[in-house]
Amino acid sequence: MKVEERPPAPQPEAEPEVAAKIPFGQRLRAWALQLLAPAISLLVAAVIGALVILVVQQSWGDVRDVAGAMWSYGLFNRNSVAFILGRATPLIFAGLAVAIAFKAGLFNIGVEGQYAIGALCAAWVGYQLSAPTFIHLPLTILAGMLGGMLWAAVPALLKVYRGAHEVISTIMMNYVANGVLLYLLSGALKDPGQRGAIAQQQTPQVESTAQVGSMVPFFNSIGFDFRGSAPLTWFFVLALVGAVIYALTVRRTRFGFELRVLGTNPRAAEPAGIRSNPMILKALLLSGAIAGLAGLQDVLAIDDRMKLDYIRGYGFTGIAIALLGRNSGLGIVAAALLISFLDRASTGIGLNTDVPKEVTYILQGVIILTIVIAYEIVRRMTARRQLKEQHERA
Amino acid sequence: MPDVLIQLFGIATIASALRAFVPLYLATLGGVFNERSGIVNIGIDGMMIFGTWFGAWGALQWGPVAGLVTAAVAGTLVALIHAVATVTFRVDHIISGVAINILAIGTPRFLSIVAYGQGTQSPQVPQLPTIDVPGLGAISPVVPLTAVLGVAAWFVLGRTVFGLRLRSAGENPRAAETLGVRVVVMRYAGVLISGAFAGLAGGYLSIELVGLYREGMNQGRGFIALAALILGNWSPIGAAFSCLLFAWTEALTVFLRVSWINNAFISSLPYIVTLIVLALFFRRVRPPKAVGQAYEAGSPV
Repeated sequence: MKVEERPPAPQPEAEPEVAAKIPFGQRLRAWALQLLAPAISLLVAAVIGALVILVVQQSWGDVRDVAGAMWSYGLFNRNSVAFILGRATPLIFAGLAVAIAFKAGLFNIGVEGQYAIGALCAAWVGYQLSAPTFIHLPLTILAGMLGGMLWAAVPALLKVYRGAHEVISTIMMNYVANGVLLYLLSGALKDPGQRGAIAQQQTPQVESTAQVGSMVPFFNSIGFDFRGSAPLTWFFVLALVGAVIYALTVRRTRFGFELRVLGTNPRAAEPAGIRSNPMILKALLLSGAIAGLAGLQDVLAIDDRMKLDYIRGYGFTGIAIALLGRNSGLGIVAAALLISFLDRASTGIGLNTDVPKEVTYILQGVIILTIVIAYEIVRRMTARRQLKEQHERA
Repeated sequence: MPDVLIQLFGIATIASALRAFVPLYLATLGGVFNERSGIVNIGIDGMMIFGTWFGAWGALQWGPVAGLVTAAVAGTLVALIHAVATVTFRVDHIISGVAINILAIGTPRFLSIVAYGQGTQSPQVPQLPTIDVPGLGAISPVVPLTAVLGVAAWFVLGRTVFGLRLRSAGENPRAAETLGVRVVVMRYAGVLISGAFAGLAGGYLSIELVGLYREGMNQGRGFIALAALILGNWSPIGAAFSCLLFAWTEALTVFLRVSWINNAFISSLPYIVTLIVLALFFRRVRPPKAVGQAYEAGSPV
């Protein structure tokens, strides 16, 4: 990519404030470059998706049908917006959980197990306790966060004290969480109110004081026309607040700064007075606590109980979302909405075309593979340009 | 109690452990190759999953031998994605591996719907004729094949020029390059071999061990293989011992659930053992020096 006109580059000898005064054009170009990567990756995903459909169905018509269904059903069906916002909610939490660990250079692959345990804890507090809403609900949500934190604590401690790599240990904890869930939901925490062979492995219903309401009436009062059953709840607002708090914490606080130093240059952390082990511990625990929020919408607002068929893949999608959103609060919200749109669009594909709706899974996988490669290419392009500018200046 | 002991270490458990050993050891052997060449492969689990699907599919199309080959080829192709991302584009190895694992969650379901009309399972597939071993009963021919591959891997890595070059790429790529070793080629080779092993492991799982493809049948064996790799100190011989430990735990789990305590929590045993092993041994082993680091051919230090 050749760029003819170049705004005057800041002089190397100039005072430090110059860094803040990067010319507008250059900043715009940097922004465009940042958006270029997701654009390339979406484009590549679309091409690969089309190829897969072509190989499987061998007709262009199907490709067109799928694109049409994704567009018209995915965006313009009566309930699509409600579904997209509602389904994005757990994904935002999961993405934030992965991202805060990423910021410290840690991979929390265990969000899956952490939110499952968090949801289980929240369900337990939700049906065991009886208290007025303003006590019960915060306690329930706190229980969810503590559950997630507890599950993240094992890999965190193993990492700090025994050096065990968090990727393997968090994944192992996911499987252990499965076992715990199966054990408790078919035993101690099983709803005793049901009988017979078809008894579900689920907890009793959480008290109404621990339930969170639907956001559909609110949206309908401002002019939308969603069906009452749409899975859009006030957790969505909590997720947005979470994203803002995340962004502010990472960018504006000392803790966030230390996280970033540890993540970008762990060797510089110790000389700069940042003790890495406590930071690793804090980052993973915080990540687990946020992960604990991901399952709560289902338990406290949609199913109103914890069910066994619980593992819904939010954790792994969360990794994709953190990567796609480049670990920024805004980016994560946008990425969650995108993935949620794909999910909704897959329903449309299932209803209106002959192509299996699971084609969107492939799209998801391809998007995250291409996004990391695209960011790398863009990074190299920028680096090469900077190098060239340096040469010209010299 | 002696009864229980006999059963814990008895023929039935050993035979069952042997069956569990094969996919684990094959995947771990693959892991030895990619890690020794300097590339981390968290995507082994995903490659195994692709192996389970394509193994069953290939066996349905052309018979069990071709099924195993198809599985290995599928694993290799998925590994090629990982190699392109990590070696050529120098993407973070863990991120690329995670991406492959995510791809392996949904893609097989899509493929199943296309191939079998339903998402989670394949029809019964043809299996290889079994070999009768006195004392152990009928075993799959892949079991001795695995032993042969283990010895071959040990020989190739430790006793051949190729093995030396591959290891040098993982220990000190800069020095290797100055001596004329093409680090990029070695790393591609390491990752592709790893994919072939992982695919074969998956193929064994679906064709030989179970007899069909079922969603989620891999149960994180790829990740246990990574732990076995660490415990086995990145060597084919060490990996044999660590995989025996994990395979025996798996057999024990089955045994306990069948005959002693049918408790859902017992199924978590292999994963808990893995955690304990990680906690005890992670610091005592020596990984390849340059593993996980990006290397740019010909670049200034």
